[in-house]
Amino acid sequence: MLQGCLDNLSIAQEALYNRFSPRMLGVCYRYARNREDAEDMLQEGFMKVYSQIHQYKGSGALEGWIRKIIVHTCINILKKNKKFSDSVDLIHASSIQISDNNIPSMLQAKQVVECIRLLPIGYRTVLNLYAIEGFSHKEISAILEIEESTSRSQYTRARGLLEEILIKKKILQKPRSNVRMVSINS
Amino acid sequence: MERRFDMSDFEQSLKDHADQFKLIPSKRVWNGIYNNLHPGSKWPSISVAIIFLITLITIGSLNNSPVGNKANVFAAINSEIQATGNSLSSGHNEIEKNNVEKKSTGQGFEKTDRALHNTSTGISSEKNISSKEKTPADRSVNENRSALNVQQLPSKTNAPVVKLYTGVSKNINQVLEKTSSSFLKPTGNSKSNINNETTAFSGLDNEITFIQYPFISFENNFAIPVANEKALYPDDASFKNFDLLNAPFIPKDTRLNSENKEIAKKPLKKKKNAEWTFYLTPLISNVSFDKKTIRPTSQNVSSIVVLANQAPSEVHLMHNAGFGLEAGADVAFYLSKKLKFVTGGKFNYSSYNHISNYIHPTFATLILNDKAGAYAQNYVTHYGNGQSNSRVPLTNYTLEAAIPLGLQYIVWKNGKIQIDLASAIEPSAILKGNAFIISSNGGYYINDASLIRTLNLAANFGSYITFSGRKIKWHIGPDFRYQLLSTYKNIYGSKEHFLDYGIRIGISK
Repeated sequence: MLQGCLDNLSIAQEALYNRFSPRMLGVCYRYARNREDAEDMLQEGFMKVYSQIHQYKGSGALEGWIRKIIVHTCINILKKNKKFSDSVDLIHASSIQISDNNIPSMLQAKQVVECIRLLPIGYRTVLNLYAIEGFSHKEISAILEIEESTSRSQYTRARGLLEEILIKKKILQKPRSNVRMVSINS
Repeated sequence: MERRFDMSDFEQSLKDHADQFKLIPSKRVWNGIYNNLHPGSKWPSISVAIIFLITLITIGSLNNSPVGNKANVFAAINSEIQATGNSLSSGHNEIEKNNVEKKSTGQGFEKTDRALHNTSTGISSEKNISSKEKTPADRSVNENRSALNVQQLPSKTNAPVVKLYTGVSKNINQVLEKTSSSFLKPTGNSKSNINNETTAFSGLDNEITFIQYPFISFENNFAIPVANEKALYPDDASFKNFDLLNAPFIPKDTRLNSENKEIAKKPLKKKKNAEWTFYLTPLISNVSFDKKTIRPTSQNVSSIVVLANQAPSEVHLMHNAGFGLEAGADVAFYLSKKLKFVTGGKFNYSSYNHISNYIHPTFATLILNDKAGAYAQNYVTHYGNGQSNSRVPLTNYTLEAAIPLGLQYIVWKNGKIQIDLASAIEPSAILKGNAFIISSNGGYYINDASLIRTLNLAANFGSYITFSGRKIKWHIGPDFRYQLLSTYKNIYGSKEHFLDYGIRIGISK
């Protein structure tokens, strides 16, 4: 399949796309405002994958390599339209209304993702990069062109807000006292 | 990216749930990726479709010019005319006065007929079937009856019944079928009978008058008109007011009535693994004839011949291609990965034009064959075979409802484009039609829609290119349809088959 993509064979390219696109669209969906934007990010991401497929040396999983390209593509698209600042996100955070009608009944994973998407764009991006993608705050600050402290503060606020959303949706149990959050109910 | 190892349980749980989340992208995403990776692949299919369209338009324009079918229309008649002598070839003009008294319907014919009985041999006319009146002319006919195989033919008009001589005779008077001597004998300067506001010929009324035009005289004062464009071309005013136009026997030239409601057919129930396609096909309709039956044989003797002086023995019968339309819905069931069974319902309109010309109203005969044998059916018509000026198109058409039953095979396919080959058999029911048919001697066009079959069968072939969009698919490609059975019933000897070709445009989900 990889060799076929290097030879620009449409069958191999389609096979690669069919294999990784569902999970990658899930990644894009966490960054985008809606599904259409997520698909646009996915399309542009895969175009970069095919154009840079010759750079993949085989070290590490192919999925991880593709995921990295997809994430950077999502970030680049967001950076064109959004500025990640505290003030903007605070305003957005205060305007979030959590109600039972926000998220219809769905599987657990999608519930969590939908809760993440309720966060403001800046909070959401930092949360995705730090908590899910595993970037450090230093890397995040370089990617988003923000201060490292801004990255830390935004993540702290994002996590707090996400917990509140998950508790409201009864996805997460409210701690009785000073017990630290352990895990999301599965 | 450096993976952090100090993730809390919450973050780890968050990551696990997020990684499990998957979404299936829509088709447009891959279509967009494919088009960017292979931008040149869509152009061949578009260019092929354009070539198909150009080919269709070119063929349609080429076929729109009149096409002639040779036929020995007047071969038998002309040979008889030449055999009678010099009086036929000179173009002798002689107008014979025939003042007809004002009488009730039919009596005018009687008086003129009696005059002809005394002056001609071999031709007789009777007022009704049961009459046994014998004339000297009849006696001469009877002498040759066994050789001539004379048949007493039924007539559907109020005009005198004629005897049709199916045998070959060298006597011009026997060859010609006389239905009304009024056609042959102009009144000439019948000024006292001419009414400028009335018709030139009012055969069914009390008065019979004619426009003057040259005639060729035979012996016994028997005459036929000379082949002359002016003679054939009646005066507009008189022609339009001609009473016979309103005669009930002349069928109206019906056109497709837009008020007619289409017969609705219940759509097939939607089944699993079924793909519905709705399509529209603009068509160019043409027709093929069985040439053997177009030529009238020497036995096909019919009504008055007006082109005695026409030199060529063959006359081209001309027709044009016409426009048609096909609309319907198909449902395809997958038999295998590449093969589909296709059925559905459709409406088809096909038409073409005969090139005719207006003539003085005359009687024409059509030889039909049923189980009892051959018989002649008489008509009154004012359409010639298009050999002179003042041409007029006569449209033959059929509107039919059909059920296609066929197969569709996927020749080539990738993510977005697919090429299919399709063929089907289409039993159909004729909902409405119009039939202008050449008379048995090839001289006139008569209209009789009752000769059109009620059920027919056609074969359909096509090749389509399918473009897959986000929600629907587009189909385009050439389509060809051939009518397997003749348009007309078996009692009419001539075979006619419609040929339709067009570009099919459809959508499906």
